[in-house]
Amino acid sequence: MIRMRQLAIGYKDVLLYTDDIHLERGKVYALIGANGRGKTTLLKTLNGFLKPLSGELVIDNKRAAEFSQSEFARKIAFVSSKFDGVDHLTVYQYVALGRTPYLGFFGRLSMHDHSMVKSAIEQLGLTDFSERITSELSDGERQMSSIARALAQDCPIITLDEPTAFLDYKNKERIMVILEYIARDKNKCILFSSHDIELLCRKSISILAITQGKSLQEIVKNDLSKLIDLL
Amino acid sequence: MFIQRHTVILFVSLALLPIAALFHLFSGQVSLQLSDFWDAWFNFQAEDTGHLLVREFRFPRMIMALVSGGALALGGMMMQTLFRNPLAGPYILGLNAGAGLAVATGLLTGFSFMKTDLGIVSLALLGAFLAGIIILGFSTFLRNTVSLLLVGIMLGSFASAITSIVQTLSTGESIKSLMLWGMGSLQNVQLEQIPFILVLFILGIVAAALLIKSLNALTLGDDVALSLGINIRRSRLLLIIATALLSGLVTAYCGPIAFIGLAIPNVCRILFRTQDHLVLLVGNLILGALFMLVCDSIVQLFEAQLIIPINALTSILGAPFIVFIILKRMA
Repeated sequence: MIRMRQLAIGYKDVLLYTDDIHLERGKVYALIGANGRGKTTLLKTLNGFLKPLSGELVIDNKRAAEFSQSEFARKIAFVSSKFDGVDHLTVYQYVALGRTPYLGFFGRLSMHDHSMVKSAIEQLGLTDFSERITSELSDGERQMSSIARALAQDCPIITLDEPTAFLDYKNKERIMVILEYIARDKNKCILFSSHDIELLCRKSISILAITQGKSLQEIVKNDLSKLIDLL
Repeated sequence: MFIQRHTVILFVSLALLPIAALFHLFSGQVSLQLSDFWDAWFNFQAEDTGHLLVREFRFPRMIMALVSGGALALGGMMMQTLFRNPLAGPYILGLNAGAGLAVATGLLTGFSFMKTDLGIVSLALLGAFLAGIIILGFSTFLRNTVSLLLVGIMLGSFASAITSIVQTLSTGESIKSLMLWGMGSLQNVQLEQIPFILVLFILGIVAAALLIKSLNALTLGDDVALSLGINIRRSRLLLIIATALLSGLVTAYCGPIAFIGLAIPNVCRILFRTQDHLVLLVGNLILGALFMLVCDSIVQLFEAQLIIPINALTSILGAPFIVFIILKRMA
């Protein structure tokens, strides 16, 4: 689904290089690395906010350099680490904004859009919350709403920037269960950045690490202590 | 079928609009008959003062109240969403002051083009647009919303200060007109100017309407809006242009009018309880126009005793409301 070949990533100076990395559908990938090593920058590059400095990025068999902004929006969804909520914006309206790439100037939803929104809300168990105001939810509920919004965007790839950073343990677990379910049952490719060692030990999660040598590699997690070094 | 709250409020306020407009038409010093309004258009007699009054004063002024209220409220809505700041607005961010400076400078140069409608409006648009671009520039490295407002207020004071210096350089005739213009008034518009004003007003509304999807996505922040396929740079620029058009238009013809652009969008968000900018756009147009009609009717009712500048009245009503908004957010 996502193929990176000797990709150089950064703003002006190269922050990190990638090995040949191939991310597949149906799997959950965790992106780890110490702060400042370029996790967010990598996510921004994959989402098309930032152009790679060199190398090749192929998304769904097409070179990302040829993508328009709206093509990116239909291929890859993005969930930021913290959504503070917006006054007067209900969960339903928030999730519906995930349909933006498919809407006309006036932002009206079709029947199909509404059914996508409803199904995303159901799958995250937010049905009872759908008329609640996003600024009045707990952090966990808001994060679930954000994932529902990404799901409604109907992209084969979902990227999340530290989705568990502001959550308690129970909510972290819930988010992981949901991400695993979406990857498996919806056949999506999921990539999230994280510092949470206890989540990375889950069987289903593959790990991409940014090493001290500024390179991004897929690693085998047989050695927990080695993993901790990288965080 | 379940009728949504905002639909009801929109219809009620829409129904109030012609009532307020009629009240405004009748609230002038000289009392007129309903027949005067009818005859002024369909049975016009040039020597009838009532007819002249309707065509030259009452009607243009009523249209101007509609346009200025709607335009400023809509401009405020766009600025508040663009900067994700409920206290933003064309006035507080210095757009009106920028327009004022450009108009005053243009009038001083003495070029005859600068005194035509097109000249004045172009200058006002340019001034408001430049002020908007400066604020947009600051907003890229001023993440703190309060700092951005302070920069806007400084920009506004700066432009007003230069405007007052420019005024001292001008001759007697234009000083007086500039001073009067600086107080803000809806009564300087002539009937012949109305079509031109309406065209620009509608152009501004259309521009805003085409940005509804972008505005909706922008409420979620730049990164998420980008990931939803919104071209942030283009949307920001178009929002500044549309706001400059709307607030520049009002400033050119009515002078500075404060607080409408700040207060009405907040009233709309509270009243309609939505972030759907289609509803907010229509709501701001109607409620802005309604508020302005009421304010200017009050001005007209007291005109015999004292002349209240419209800007003073909107500030007196608007400022306490803004304080209320701030207190509510702090709590």
